[in-house]
Amino acid sequence: MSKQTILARLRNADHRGISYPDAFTVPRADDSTVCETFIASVTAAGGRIIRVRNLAGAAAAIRENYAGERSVFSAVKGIELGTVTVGPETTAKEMDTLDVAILPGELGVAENGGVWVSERVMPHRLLMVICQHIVLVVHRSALVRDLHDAWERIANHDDGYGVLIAGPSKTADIEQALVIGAQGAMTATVVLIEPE
Amino acid sequence: MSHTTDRPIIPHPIAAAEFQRDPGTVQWHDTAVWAVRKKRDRAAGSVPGWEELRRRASELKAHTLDHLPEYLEQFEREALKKGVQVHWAEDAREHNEIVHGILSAHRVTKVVKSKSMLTEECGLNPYLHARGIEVVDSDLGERIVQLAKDRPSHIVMPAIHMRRTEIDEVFQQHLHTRPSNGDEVYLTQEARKHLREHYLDAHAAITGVNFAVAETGAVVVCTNEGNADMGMHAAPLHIACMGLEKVIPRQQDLGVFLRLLARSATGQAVTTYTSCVRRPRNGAEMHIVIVDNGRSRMYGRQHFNTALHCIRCGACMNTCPVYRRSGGHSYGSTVPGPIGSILSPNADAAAYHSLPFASTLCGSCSDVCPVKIDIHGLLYGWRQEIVRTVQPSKLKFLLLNIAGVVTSHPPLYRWSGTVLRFILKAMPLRIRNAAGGAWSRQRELPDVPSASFQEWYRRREKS
Repeated sequence: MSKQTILARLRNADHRGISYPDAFTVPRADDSTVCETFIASVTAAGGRIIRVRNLAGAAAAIRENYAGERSVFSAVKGIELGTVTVGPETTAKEMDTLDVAILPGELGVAENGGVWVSERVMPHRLLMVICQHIVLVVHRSALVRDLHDAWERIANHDDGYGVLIAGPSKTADIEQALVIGAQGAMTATVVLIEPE
Repeated sequence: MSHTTDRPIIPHPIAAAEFQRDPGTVQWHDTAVWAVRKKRDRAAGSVPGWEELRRRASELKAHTLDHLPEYLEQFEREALKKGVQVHWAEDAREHNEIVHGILSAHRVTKVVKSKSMLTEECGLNPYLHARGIEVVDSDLGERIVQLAKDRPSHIVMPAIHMRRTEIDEVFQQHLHTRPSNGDEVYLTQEARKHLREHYLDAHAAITGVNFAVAETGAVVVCTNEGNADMGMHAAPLHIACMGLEKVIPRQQDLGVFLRLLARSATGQAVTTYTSCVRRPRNGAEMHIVIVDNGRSRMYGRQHFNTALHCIRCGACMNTCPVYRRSGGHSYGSTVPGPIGSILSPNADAAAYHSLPFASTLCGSCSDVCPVKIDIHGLLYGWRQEIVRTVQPSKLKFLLLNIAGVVTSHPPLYRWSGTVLRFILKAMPLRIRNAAGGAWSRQRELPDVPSASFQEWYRRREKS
């Protein structure tokens, strides 16, 4: 059987007993600038930031910014702006016309502007990529410095799927010219909730 | 790890000479690729712990490879627990058979595929095409190259060798776009519409794997366009193909590799989408194919197996002066450039014998490698291996032995110098310059000095 043949070949080679590098010595950023850094990173990734004080403020800002959009889905409790429902049985064809997907971000990573969204908050995985515009609602308390922090925070999560989303989809495949808005969301907005 | 092909492999110097014929193209390609190196430098420079990260990544890879059988088994166990089906393929042919087997069991006639150098290496697309299965490459660069019936020339930027006007023509022909002089915004929008149609009626999605986490059985796929996600979340069947060196020990280790990957590849802090898949979607099926195809042979090569640390960022290609000025196609291999020149001879040293010599050994590649592979050191090692096993040159050995005798006998050395200076002075300029062979195609020999250094020094001391 191929598995056994392959593993046997690997086992036959010399092994040096190199242990896992337990000592983690990578220097880390300062915690105090995490908010400013996150905002700068989202912008650098082609996304937009809207800063609000609370959930009501978030809902108001989203309603205002996406007033003309017909097909809206919201997975955020307290932001009842959805005009369509999506479930696990919803087909890709049905979701293809989705204008806006409003999703809760469980984490925001300051060093790269990434927002973590997992399957537990999305009735269908396609929601994170098929919409024209993606809105990620993130609490200030969910911001972390870097990816080391991020994986530590979700170490015990066992979601079947999770994705770190940094800005809108993009490509530079045509003569290295950057195009914002490729195959996923054309625009990405992070609504950052910062209570006093 | 060459790719399955019946094209004869043209030695690099000959293929490169072809690319070199248009100095305008060479200059453009060189500048375009170097610009990506500059982006990488800005990104790396902005991370205070960059060198520490590289060191840790290197240590993690060394440890993982040292325990590879255990980690692969752990990965499989965890994936199986979560309802993912796992297959093992010894070589390219078995990989293609397995993938085809899964697809035909589901009566699939159309597949969307996101970027996977492994499937390119195995020649999956032509294999499936010959068996009546349509494969749509969904990465924009790969789609362009696919429609143009061309080959990718870079592992991260497959169409970097193509001018926007060429791309425009491909779009006009296959997507019926209006002539736009290569307007990238317009063409990208048209590609979006075109590819959306394919996602919506594809029966299956094939993706690559950037990292396979042993601890959780998760597969991590990174894209900027969102094409891997569009494919795998829409289709009822997802097949993830991975080389066996893609496994990493713990989820926590993703922090290290993901902080290095995009910065090294394109200068971005992270790709737009970093997708971590542990389980198939409700009602969908997920398969992982773990592929050897020469990797276990590389694993056994004590002096070269650190090449398996590669995370396929492409930074070595972006910095390499030879890659920049000869283009990816001159290597004739799936993975070109410095790392490709180590991986390909492993699969077929006779076919790829010229690749380790397509280098100035400047070491720039080793400087930028996020996992600290001693790339130029390995290239030098391969040269010795190839001279020993593939291309022992009797003439070269003879000349080097003569040189050895001459340089170890000072009177003989001095006499040879005198004779050489006399001959060169007496020789017509044209013949003298031609005597340098390939070296003198773009260079002139320096003026012949009147005396040797020893003679000049002795005269100077006397006065």
